[in-house]
Amino acid sequence: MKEFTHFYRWGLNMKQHMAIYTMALIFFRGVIEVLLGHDSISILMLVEMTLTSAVIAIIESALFPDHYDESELQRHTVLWVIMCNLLFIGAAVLFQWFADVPLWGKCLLIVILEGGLFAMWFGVHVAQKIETKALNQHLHDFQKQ
Amino acid sequence: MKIKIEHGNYEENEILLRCREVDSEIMRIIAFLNLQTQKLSGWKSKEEITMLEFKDVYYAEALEDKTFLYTSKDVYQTALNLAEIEGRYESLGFLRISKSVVVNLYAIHSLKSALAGRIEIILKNQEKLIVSRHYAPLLRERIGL
Repeated sequence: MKEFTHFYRWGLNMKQHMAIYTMALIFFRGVIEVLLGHDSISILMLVEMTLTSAVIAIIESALFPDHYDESELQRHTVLWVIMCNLLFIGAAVLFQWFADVPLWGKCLLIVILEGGLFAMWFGVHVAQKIETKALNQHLHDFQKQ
Repeated sequence: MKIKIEHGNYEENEILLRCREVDSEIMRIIAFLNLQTQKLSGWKSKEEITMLEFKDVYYAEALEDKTFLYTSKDVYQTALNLAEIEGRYESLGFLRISKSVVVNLYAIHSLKSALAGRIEIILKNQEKLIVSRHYAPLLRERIGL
């Protein structure tokens, strides 16, 4: 039962990250479709984006498990940034998600990708840590009352 | 506040609190006394009912139509439902964290902020529970955050 709940919790966290990545890819593809005067996205492309996001989220959960060694954070963050760039850009080139976008648009998308990765890192590894610290401080104060 | 102890030939120990009004200090004393004297009844088999100290009950969970009390190692069934545990023993630190779980705040080892406004609880026996997004603000408020 414990193994199941552990796996369930891992799946829950992993799928949330996967959902964020999938929605971001679909959103930017959607914006491009609208700008090009289209009103649909290929189902195959949606599947490709979902599977790519799943692979990235799974690798990410391996790099940042529930309790990882804090001294490894810097090295794992670098690995995570490289992995995300390789897989997002690699998949976009391989599956031609943004082949019809002009060069300046591709450059803009890469800038947005880097900004998004920074926001993700900040949210998970900075903002959440600040809140975790505050939660534990207040919990221990409560328990001492 | 004065503390007076009277020794005598009483039938049983008695604690009497005299106060101008029931303020937070008195409430804390009552909660502390309840914590020391009250117990929760639970059973593994109907033939043997165990009286559990509140501090030993880590959390209560509703599964189908039954309610279970979890201690560091054991699981007991109880006649109380979650609403009763939450309502009667809130002052002792019991708090609803999801539709099916009430946790003892004094049994929590640490808290961890999670994605989408959820909070992960690590109990003193290292078991993990998730506070749903709906109940997370109640936990924050309860511990004074």
